[in-house]
Amino acid sequence: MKNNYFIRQILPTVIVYLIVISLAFLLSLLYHLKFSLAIDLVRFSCPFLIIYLISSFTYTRHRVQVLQQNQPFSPKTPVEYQLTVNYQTLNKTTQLQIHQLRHDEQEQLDHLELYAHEMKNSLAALQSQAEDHNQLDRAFVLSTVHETNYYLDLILNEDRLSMGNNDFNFEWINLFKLVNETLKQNASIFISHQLTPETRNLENVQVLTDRKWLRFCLRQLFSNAIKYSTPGQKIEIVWQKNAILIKDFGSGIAKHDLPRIYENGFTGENGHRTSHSTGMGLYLVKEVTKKLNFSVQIASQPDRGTTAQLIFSPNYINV
Amino acid sequence: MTTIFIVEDHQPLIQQIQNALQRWQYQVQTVHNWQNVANEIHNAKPNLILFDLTLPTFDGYYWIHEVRKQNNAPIIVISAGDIDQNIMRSITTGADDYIMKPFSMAVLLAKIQAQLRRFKDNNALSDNLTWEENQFNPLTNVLSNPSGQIKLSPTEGAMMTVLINHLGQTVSKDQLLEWLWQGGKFLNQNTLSVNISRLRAKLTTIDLADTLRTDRGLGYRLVKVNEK
Repeated sequence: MKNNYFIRQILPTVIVYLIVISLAFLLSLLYHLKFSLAIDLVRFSCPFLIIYLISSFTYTRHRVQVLQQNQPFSPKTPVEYQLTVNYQTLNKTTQLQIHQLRHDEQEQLDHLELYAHEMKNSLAALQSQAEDHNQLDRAFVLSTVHETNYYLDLILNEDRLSMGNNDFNFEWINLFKLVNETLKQNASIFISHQLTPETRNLENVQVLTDRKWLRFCLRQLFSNAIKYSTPGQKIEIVWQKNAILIKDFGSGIAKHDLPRIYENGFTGENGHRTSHSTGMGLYLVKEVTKKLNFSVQIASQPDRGTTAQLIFSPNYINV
Repeated sequence: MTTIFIVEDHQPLIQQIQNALQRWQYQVQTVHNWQNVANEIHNAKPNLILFDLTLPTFDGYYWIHEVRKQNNAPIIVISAGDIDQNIMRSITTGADDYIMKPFSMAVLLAKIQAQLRRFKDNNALSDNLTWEENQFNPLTNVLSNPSGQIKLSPTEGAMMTVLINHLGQTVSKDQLLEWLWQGGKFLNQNTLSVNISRLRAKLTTIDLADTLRTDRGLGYRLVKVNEK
């Protein structure tokens, strides 16, 4: 392999030399000069050629070795220079990518720890209940299952979200069907909190987006609405002016907390009041909206309620 | 007799599903020879197949593909996650619906019935539910006995169905609500109570007063004659 390139490098020189000496012979023939002139030309130039070839070979091999041993290399030809420039740019980009990947990996590990702790808490509560009582409260066991499953799903989903795994599947989605499906899937948590969903205006609305991630966002927003509502209230899910609105009438978000709700791990006043709030829900929704074709907006009034909106642009809507 | 074939290896889960399905008079069959799943299914001629995709050494898609060569019965796949790529893949391979672990039996039953309704004209659901001298048709929501006949609302009908299938046993409010939710009726405890009262009033007109008992703090129960 390597020898191929050496040969290719000297070949032009050798060929030119051969052409020149052929020319010499041709000229001596034409001018009726003694051939010995041409032969002497060859005899005296040959050593120079050989010396040149050997030193060129040696020099090139030395340069190759310098590169192979990763020693400092200064480009001596335009080609070498450009290659060096390209290499450095590539190197920089790769380093940045590695840095970003390491950062993401660390973040994922942090989240994993967070979720694991929450799951351990749930299990600990379950264990202590089991140790103290002969029969467990059905609702309590179901809510533990629901919670633990919630964190497991977060782990499974985040994996896909952060790995830059952008294999989204865009399709036209019947909103009424999707919302109802999601409500049914989360029935137990609504029921145990005694909350009633009210859907309005969703019939005949279709949106173009990735079904799984839209459902993921809906689930997160439902989860928040449920957390901050009080038993007996209703939660409205409405289509209004290019957006899905999820309205709860619960405790709301404090004004000074509002700017920070999308932060990674932010729990705010409400988070500390109620338990089991890792502050990840909205952060993840925000991450999803960054990669997809809808945006999220949250408005709230303390003690009056919160309205979360998923907003689509008109060309992704079909009413 | 409606047969449901379950491709699952976790014994407790099989047992659980079997118990729930048998309440609805569905017969359940499971896998005996894991090398020969497609043939076993072919021989069993089930009305519906449940495929667990999370089985480690079992290639679900391959087997769904094989089963589809010989069988047109609806397939519901069980998967571990929502954002699971597996689900899309399995639906293209031939599955009709999916359910995610962990699931409630109410959800599973609702999905099974939805699939069976689509594929059979003469399914178990059109059979009347009977207890003692009473007959209830879940499709028409008509409840009849020697004393007369009443027409129930869809919500009342759904509640009646659950209560009949748990004859003599107490069904908790939450259980009833979950079932109603799977049918798309998003009631809460208050509206549930209202519906129960209405149902009671209707039952009284055909001499079934006092068959729908409230067990304080526990739930509701449809009682048998000898309990009166």
